[in-house]
Amino acid sequence: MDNADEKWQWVDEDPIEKLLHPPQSSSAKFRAEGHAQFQRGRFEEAADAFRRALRDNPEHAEALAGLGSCLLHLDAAEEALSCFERLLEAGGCEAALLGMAVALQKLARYEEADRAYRELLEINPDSDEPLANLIALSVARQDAAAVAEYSGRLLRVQPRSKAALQGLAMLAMRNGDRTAATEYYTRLVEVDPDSFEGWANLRHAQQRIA
Amino acid sequence: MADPGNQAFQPGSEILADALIPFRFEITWRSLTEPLKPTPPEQATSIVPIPAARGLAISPTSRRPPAYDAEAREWEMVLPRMRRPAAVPLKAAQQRLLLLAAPQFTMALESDRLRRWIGVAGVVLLLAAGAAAYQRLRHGSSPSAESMAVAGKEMGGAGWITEWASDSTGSARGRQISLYRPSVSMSDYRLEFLGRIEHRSLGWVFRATDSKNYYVAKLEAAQPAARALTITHFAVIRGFEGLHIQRTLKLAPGAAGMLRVRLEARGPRFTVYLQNQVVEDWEDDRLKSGGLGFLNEREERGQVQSIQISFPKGGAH
Repeated sequence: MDNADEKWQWVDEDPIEKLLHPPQSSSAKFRAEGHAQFQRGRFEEAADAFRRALRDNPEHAEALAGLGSCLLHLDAAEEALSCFERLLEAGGCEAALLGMAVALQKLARYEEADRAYRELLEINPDSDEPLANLIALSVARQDAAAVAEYSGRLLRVQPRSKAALQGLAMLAMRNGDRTAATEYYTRLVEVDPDSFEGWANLRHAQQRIA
Repeated sequence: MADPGNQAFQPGSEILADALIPFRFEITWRSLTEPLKPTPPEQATSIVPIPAARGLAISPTSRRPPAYDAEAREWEMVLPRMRRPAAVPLKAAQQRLLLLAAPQFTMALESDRLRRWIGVAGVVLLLAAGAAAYQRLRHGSSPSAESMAVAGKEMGGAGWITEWASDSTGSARGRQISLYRPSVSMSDYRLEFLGRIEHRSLGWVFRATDSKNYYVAKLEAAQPAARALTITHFAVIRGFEGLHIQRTLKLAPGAAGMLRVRLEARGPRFTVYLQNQVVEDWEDDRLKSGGLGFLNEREERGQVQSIQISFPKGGAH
């Protein structure tokens, strides 16, 4: 390895510095601006920046994911869906699937959202965000069995998951098992001491047991 | 990053009738935009988080590559260690003598593929040197039965297996993976090689468990006129090819030169060095173990001249 034909030479003396602060194209500048605005919660400005970044490179995965995420925040689910579909075509499989699933869920297209989440779980069965969103989706569909399944799975992956504890507490009360519900409510308020619903429902369940 | 989400079961259900307060179930998409995990402070001299979508951008964690001297204490270099004096007693875990035979790329579909990876002379030399060192060790010292078995198993050039990628994208691209078989069950290792882009790219795989689950990294000379190389990495998990994370590197001059490439895989962290400089550093914890190797695609091929594979000192994982 020491006798390498060193025809390649570094142009930059400090490539790591360049790696951290690379010379930016206009597209890169817009993406950086998009990220900065996004971090500040200024989603309209961030979306505009990502759109400008996409003019130079319409299939740039990072810009598509950023724009799609902004659009979800802005409740522009139809446009977000189209953005994530473009991302999927550009090769951004997991991010695109999650974005599409969330957009479909917001559009109340639950069957399609469910399929997208399941695909994500095929890739990574322990992925917490799809599981949590599937709990919300199952609640919206009033599918108690699915709420139980996804809450149980999520709790195994993330024992302090608020969504899972909420789901299981809700089901326990629905089934009249106030002891189990009390246990879940107790864990819930430990995880989220500011949960008004958690405290109120815990008190309610304890009164019923008494 | 969250939507107020759904209210717990709708009015009319027994829950509301029971006067419970319905929960709000949030819909979230944080993983689309959260930055990559920073490296723990003790591992990094300077952490500069770059806000970017997860899996879409690089989060370089160290401004300087770790010094080779420091690394030498942590990694077991495979071939150089084989030349150590026979009198030095070695622990079995430090004696994993893996003699590398050249990967066999025997794709017969296209005539030019027969010439693929023809620059294996370096590997053959290494193999010869390794075999000599092996003989020397065998006759001049008393290595443990385990290390002997490991070394003996790989003699004779049977260390490489080649198969077609079976994920849809890889299959469509005619991707062929040649895997160094002894590394298949391992997780932490270092791959170092001298290579050249013969046509478009030079690619390698790591943490490959099968033809549907592996990580890929590639150096591509997409714009030779601009004297630019790009490094791309992505994951194929259960047959799904993930986002391609790409960064442009400025190197000169054209694509005729040799590239000294090193990949280090430690736990969820991967670092790629090019010409002894860190060019990529990221974390991904989806594939915990799997083998090392090289890949070719229909329109892309590279040439490898010498290969070293090392495992962390103290035993391969």
